[in-house]
Amino acid sequence: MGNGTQLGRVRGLGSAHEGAGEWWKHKVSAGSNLLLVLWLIVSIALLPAYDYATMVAWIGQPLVAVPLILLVLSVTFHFRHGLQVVIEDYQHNETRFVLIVLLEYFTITVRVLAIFAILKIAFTSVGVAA
Amino acid sequence: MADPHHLAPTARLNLRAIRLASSSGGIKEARVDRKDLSLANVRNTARPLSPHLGIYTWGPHMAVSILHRATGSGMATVGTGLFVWWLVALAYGPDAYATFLDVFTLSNGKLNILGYIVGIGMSLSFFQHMASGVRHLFLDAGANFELRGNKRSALTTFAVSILATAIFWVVLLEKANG
Repeated sequence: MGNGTQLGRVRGLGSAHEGAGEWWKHKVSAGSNLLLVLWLIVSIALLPAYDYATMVAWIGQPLVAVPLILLVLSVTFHFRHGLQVVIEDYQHNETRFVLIVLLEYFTITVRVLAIFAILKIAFTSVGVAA
Repeated sequence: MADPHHLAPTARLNLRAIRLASSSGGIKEARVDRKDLSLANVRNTARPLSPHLGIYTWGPHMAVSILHRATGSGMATVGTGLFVWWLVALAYGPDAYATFLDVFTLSNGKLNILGYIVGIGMSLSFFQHMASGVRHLFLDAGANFELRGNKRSALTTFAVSILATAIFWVVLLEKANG
């Protein structure tokens, strides 16, 4: 192992710099997950019913739709990083590469699908508060 | 007993550690003989060995560690699938949402077996991952590595997750039945 290249030193890209950045973003998303998922669980527990009309009216409110979208962004970011660490720990070579690419596709797909669904519900619901 | 000054430096240190431990009553049985000392191979049997596979035993801290991964991976796959299915069904309309509900409920609207397994599994997974995630934030700050405190905080995550899951389901079931 050498001491890295001069270019690498100028950019400050030793393993600690890059690794710590990913680690820190994972912690920040853990903090927002804590708040947002607790909000979702408490909200769901307090809803009067779970029929279609109640759910759509609830999600249609701006102060429900927006936290839900934030939750989708925070949770997908967090699990994308977490699952990558799990894959890197247990899989090697080609399998690791393929799984990480699939994870990337999976993350982006569910993120867009969930946000589109929330927006569609919000923009088409009648807007009666639950 | 051998004169410590004729021993290798590491053996001398070990011998000193054993004497200190013995004088403070910290060990019951210290295996020290000439042969071991001459090989610099003194082991205080009261001290833990490094975790070779052959002597690995489970403790709460290990259970918490692997459960953090298991619950995280479970929620990221099964949980994400359910969450997106729920939202997309609502976005499609009443019929699609009825199909979604039908998988997890009986005809009288109450949860079926699958509904309970998935519901309790996901809520317990979340609260366990949450509690052990908060524990990780302290570990990341360099705190809570003392053996007793570390074990206690590991056990606390189980208590928190079971209690929070129980409260969540009491609220849900009170509403459904009351």
